[in-house]
Amino acid sequence: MNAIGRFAGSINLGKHYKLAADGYLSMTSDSGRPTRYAAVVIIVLVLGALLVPAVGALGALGYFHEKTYLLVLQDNSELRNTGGFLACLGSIDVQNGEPTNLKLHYSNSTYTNTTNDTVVKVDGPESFTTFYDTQLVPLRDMNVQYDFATFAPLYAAASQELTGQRADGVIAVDFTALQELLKTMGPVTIGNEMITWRNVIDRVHYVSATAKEASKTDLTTFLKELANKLIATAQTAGPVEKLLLLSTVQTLNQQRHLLIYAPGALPNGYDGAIQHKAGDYLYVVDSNYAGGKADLNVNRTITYHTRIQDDGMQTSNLTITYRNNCWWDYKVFTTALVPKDAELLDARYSSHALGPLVTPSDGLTAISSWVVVAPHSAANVTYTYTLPATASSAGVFGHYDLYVQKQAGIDHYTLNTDVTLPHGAQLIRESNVGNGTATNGDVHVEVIYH
Amino acid sequence: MRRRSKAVAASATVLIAAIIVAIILLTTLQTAVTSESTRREQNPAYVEVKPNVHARLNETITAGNLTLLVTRVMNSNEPEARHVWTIYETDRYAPLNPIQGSKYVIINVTVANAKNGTTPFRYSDVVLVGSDGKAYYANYAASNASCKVSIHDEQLKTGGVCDLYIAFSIPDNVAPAKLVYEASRPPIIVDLA
Repeated sequence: MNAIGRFAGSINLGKHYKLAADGYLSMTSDSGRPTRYAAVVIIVLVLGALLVPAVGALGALGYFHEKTYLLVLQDNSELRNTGGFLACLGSIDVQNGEPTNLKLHYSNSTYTNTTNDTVVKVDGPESFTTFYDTQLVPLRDMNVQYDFATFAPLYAAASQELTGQRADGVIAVDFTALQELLKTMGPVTIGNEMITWRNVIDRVHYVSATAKEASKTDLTTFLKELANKLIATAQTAGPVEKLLLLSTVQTLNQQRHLLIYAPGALPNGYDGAIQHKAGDYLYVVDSNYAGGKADLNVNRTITYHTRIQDDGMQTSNLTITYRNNCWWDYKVFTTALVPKDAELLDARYSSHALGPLVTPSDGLTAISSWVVVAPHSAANVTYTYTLPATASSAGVFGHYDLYVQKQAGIDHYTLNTDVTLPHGAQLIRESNVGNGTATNGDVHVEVIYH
Repeated sequence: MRRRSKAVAASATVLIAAIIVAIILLTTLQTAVTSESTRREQNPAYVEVKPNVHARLNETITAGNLTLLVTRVMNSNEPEARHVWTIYETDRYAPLNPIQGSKYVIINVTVANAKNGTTPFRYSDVVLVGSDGKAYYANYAASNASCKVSIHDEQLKTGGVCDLYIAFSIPDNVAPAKLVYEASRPPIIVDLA
């Protein structure tokens, strides 16, 4: 075996790459061989890197065998941890890229055909089970985990236990996603009614509120027709419209209005998982229990001020402000996930509240409170806590990173950040520091100092 | 040597040309994908159907089997609009603060069955025409309990009268211009300005 042959065989390229390289080796014998071999290996690697995800995506679209995905319609006007109240549940099959056999049920009557709630056991998060002193919840309220990535496999398991149906993944869509899909694809007509992006949320609420049967078949029929119309529109769309739709879906996923949990088929990042980043971290997760369909009319402001002490330790002030534009009380169980080993020093509330409750959570610390916000007014909760050093240093430079994760289901929030540097430190560069950053996604705050 | 230089130059030219073409294609694609113009028309321009009958605010008009009266056009922030929603929508399904950059207009409409027998009526057939000439479709309707039944059944019984508050989401910079009931023959157009 010559030098290049040994090279190609010495690295673990996998059987196909090695065969390709060996095949090329046997066909050539001139002095330019080394360069060409290297080129072939690189091309095979690049093609492999492109093909593996493509094969995964094709598999997810049911090209090799039919896939079944559970569907979760989250009503984000009634916010819950993973994005919204579980309004409707169902499933859809996908074969050769074609969605078929869409099923939807009202969440109260999904598995029982009655209005009695199906009760499931949840084993966390601790903040929820401690505060509400229960591990049993109705199926429709089971999305108490802090992110969809944690909830989805639990829901798939519960669904399999209840129905015997095995699923290849779970897809969640909220009302903002419905709005944006209609904005992209145009209005549809359902039962002679024109449904546009402007009226879709209210129409769904109206149909739900006026449904006569407890199983709300009016609602599920309406939603099934809406979904089928959207699918048909997507299938008949031209190439540019399909690209536009793909772009919308990508944006909705980034903003966590459309979440896909498909283990083995899709890379991480589509399932809204908690981002375990180095440095400082903040993730405010709210659940509106018994606060009505209020959340599209509640504005959130997160104000975060951290002081980096001379020894690197931090003292942080976090204020979460809710502006309730509804004419009824907004009641929210709010949890701030902050770095592990955070120590709460103080909690202050501007309105009626219960808390604080501090619990550990998978490498993070959860600080929770239950807050009531009166109609047409604002209320806030302020936590003061210390943190072990999260800033890193490289030579004479200090580097502070804060990752603020947006909760699924929330349309937008305002972020105010302020970082006080150690005594004598000089600011070199900063990004996303300041007041009034209105955002609909995650924010990375970065400060470099000398 | 010279031949090799020429080959290299030719290859470089082809590569650069390919890169330029790829950049142009990607830019065009990106523009197409992000352009609002590629999106389908959301609220189409209202096309007046003729013949039709016209009325003004607070003027009762009858067309076919239906009598219609528009008494008030409100912004959802007005106390009365809020009051209506508080009374009728105890289930808290219809908040009155819509999408950013938009507002709700609430129209108070009274409809009545003008003849014997049942008359079809659907509030989703009521269309608001904005000052921008576009048609906006109903979001929600609030009413008292007996009227809710009529709305759900999509018909008015003999002698049936319904007092409705219909909400439309329209852009902030658009004013309500006309209310059209499309299902009657002929259609009813009420000038709101």
